[in-house]
Amino acid sequence: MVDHGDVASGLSLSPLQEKALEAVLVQLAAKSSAALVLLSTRTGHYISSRGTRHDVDTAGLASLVAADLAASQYITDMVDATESHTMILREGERHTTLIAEAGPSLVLLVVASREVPLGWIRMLVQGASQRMAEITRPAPGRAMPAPAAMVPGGEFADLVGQAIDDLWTE
Amino acid sequence: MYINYTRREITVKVVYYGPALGGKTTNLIQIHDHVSGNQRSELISLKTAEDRTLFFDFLELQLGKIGGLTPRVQLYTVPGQARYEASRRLVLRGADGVVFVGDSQPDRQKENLESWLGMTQHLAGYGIELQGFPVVVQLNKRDLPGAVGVDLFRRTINLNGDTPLFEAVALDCRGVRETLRAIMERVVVRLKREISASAA
Repeated sequence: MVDHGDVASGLSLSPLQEKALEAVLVQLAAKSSAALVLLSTRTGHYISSRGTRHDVDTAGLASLVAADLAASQYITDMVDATESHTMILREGERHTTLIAEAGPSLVLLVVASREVPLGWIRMLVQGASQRMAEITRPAPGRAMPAPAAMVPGGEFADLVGQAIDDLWTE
Repeated sequence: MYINYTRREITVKVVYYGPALGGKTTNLIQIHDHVSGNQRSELISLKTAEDRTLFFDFLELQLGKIGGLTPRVQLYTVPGQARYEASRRLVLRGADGVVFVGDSQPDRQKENLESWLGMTQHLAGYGIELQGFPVVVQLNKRDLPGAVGVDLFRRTINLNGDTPLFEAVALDCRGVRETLRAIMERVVVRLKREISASAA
């Protein structure tokens, strides 16, 4: 089993960490009866989602969720109202939407029915965010091996260039 | 960059940066239009009422499997208008590579320079030096009468000879694919280097 790793920039998750994050997502979706629970990195890379809605462009949504959180944090910094934990709440006619940071690397989106009490959702999101932050926290003093074996060697760059050409239709 | 071991996916982020009305969004529109729907996401554009980019455009491409690995590419643009400096900084966060889209019109050279300097400043704010970071320059609107020479453009933004430059007419899709291919090759080279260094 590959230990959890990271590279100089970005985020990589071990299968163990992914499994643990999935378990938190599943639990959160069940307890909140959420239409959608989505996990993204802070830079907008989609990780996973749960819920009853399956018609969503998850890649696009992840980019927007991360941007929303980043913009909100920038706003609070600019007006000198920095928060220790950012949670953005939107109360729609039928759904409540919560976006919350989950540690330094992740962002969580929860879309739940307005019938679910807001306090209950906030409490669930806070708990899930904390657990996710713990799951992705690097262990102090432990080396962080990278997935060297996973990335093809040799002419990977050429192959990626070829793959771009292959995508193209005239 | 995000690495998913279980699904054997690597997702990288490439940002199209440059002055207002230079053709960043046009690049993404052309990519969207030339890649089949099952290998890309929908194009998301956060625009003003005047059809100008407000925050960013976003498009994800899924490349075919390479050595059992599926690379995904997330393409973003920044808003070019001067007032959106803070938004540009946010969009650059976590970028694995940058395409700088310059404007060939003679009266836009000052804007090219200002945008280039702004980009280097924002990257420096994230601890990224241009040296060794994947950057590709696209000089767009080559079809316009009076387009500046490539050498003059290079001198204007003080572009070193190692940084690849592609001449383009994004509206006609000329140079769009070549630019994307070049930035992706550089991103992957750096990715390999980072991973090797991290494993050592």
